[in-house]
Amino acid sequence: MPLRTEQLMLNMGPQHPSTHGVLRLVVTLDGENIVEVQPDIGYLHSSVEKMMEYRTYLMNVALVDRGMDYIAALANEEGYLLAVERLGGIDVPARARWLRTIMLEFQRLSSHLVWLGTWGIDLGATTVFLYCFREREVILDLFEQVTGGRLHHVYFRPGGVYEDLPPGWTDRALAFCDEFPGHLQEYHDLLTGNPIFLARTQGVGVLPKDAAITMGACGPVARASGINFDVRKAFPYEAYGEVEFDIPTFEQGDCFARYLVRMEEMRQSLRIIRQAIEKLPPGEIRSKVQVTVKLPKGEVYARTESPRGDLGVYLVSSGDDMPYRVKIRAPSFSNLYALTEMMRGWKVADVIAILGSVDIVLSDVDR
Amino acid sequence: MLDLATRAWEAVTGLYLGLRVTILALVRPKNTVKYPIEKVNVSPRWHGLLALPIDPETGSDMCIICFQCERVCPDRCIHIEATGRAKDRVLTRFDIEMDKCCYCGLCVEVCPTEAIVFVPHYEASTFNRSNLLYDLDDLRRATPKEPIAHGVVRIGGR
Amino acid sequence: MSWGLVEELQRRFPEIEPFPRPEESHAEGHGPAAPARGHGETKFTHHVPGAWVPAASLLEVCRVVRDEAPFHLDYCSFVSAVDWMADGTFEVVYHLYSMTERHQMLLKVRVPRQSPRTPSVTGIWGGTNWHERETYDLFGIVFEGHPDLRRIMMTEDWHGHPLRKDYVYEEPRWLVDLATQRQREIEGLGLGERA
Repeated sequence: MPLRTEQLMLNMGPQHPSTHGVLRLVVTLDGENIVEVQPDIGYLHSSVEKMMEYRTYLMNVALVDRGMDYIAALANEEGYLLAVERLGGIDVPARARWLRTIMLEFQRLSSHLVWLGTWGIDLGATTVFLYCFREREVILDLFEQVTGGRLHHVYFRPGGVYEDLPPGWTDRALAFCDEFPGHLQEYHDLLTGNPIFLARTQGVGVLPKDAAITMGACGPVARASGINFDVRKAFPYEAYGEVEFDIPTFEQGDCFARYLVRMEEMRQSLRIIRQAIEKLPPGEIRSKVQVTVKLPKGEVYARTESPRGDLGVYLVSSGDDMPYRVKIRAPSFSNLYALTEMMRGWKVADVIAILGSVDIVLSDVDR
Repeated sequence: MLDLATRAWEAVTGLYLGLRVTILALVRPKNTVKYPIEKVNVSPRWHGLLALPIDPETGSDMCIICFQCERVCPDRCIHIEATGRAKDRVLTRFDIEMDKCCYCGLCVEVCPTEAIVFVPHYEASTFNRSNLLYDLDDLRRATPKEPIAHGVVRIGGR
Repeated sequence: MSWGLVEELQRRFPEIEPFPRPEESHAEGHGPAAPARGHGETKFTHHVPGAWVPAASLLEVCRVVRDEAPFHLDYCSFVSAVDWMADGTFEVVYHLYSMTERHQMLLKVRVPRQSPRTPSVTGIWGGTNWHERETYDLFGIVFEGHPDLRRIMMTEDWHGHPLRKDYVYEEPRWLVDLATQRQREIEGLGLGERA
């Protein structure tokens, strides 16, 4: 008698510890092999785009902080404010631009550390989590001394930043930059040489280059697939045009390549921070902008490189003190769609490894 | 055979490198803070609770009732009422719904007289949601209405 | 440099209408881009080069800008829409980028608010699948030929499309009641009497 087989629908989430938020994956399985993955999102949808239409440009800074990617709040502020400043022709003083660059790179470091730690837990390497959060704590303390907040800063303002650095901050930041490469080596020792880690990541979840472009993948995911694209180089904003850094690109497109891209990005971030602290010019930190600033009629699309990828803000103003329409092009949203392509054909046990390697934040996906 | 030997060698070195890191961590100073017993210091810019400081000269708060903070609040959690006209205006009500507050600091930024400030206090959680509506007295005292947990040594409580 | 690209596109497709350039656009404003709200006299500035495309020739235009030189716009950043309620139109916005040539372009399609329908470009850029679903969900614009046009952010039984300017929150009932109750409580607190 022939064995009757059928496909199995498996529900992962919304409450699943490895989905990094409230994500439901409807996985269709043929035995152990994944036939199709259908992510079901929207559990964290807060309609930030609608809420922003009813708040002034200054109030929205506090809103994008929370409503979007909560791991990298400053990157959201930067994306939004870049759009506001380009549309309004608001001038940002040189010191503020450099300060923003420093803060954004620290934000990238802390965000990548969260990613590395949680992905380590997903793959069974609990120790990495503890080490990553130990270093992240130092970065959050540095943030706290400048902005007053650890996760949600509300530090950038239209036309500059809120406060200048406290005395002695640059020394502490440089001290961190000196000791961090040692910690980065620790992570490499723990993971990069580990045969179990390699077996779970190398060659798993491959996203070819042409598929990455078609599916709209961006950021480290795209760079791991061989797309040499970084908004910081292609459309330099703030002080990125004046610092030297490399864009790590790998051809393999698997989970291990995505890991290597982010590890190398952390090293590049340190390079940028060092240069920025060295070149930090004195002077004004904020140009004069009204609390209820009115932007001229028009539309603008500003792109920034958030830790998760290409964060774009499409802003339409009708001449009021509130935006007429804000479209946030969230990097996680596009990357999560590319995930459906990455997972096809892999085993069910690889779901966690692949999902973790994409580094999605569900608040960013749903907005 | 050679392949097996290479893989075994890689496994051993990988294990050695990883274990060296973890064992070295044993002799490093601890990073953990035993939180409710020990407290961490926050920076002077810390976005903690909001407060209306008392001016020592006049014995009253410094609010000039300009409604700037109420207008700029993204969550609309500040409610101000006043009586009287022009210079005789008196603050009758200054409520902040701390459960809605997002600690963004825009009210502190726009205040022309520094009448509303952040205090470095971070234990604001209560057992009852209604305790999170801070009125004028609470804001002048600038401490939470309820200690965070009973039986915990309160440091600098009221 | 990208503005030249739009001119090139207009040479091939005379029916498209390029955005006025920021420096040389004239004062009378431009179709739906000059909304009734706000100050009517100032002009609408387009900071990104692009063009309005009629819905009928959208697919043809998209195929050309993806495949042919000098466009090679192989990456679609997002698909979204803007609700110009005063003019009775939606503008569907496509942001395109070229990974090889490093230039960008914006395409816009005007659709009437009464029956918002436009062809789907999922066959050209696969990544627009979810973006079009999101636009359908939040604006109610139907993308014809989309393989799987369902709601993505809101629940399946949601009424209305939240990002429309005339959206009123009415379903589900219990949530409306809760919100009204909360609103009443806040009003009871009295929102600052400005004497």
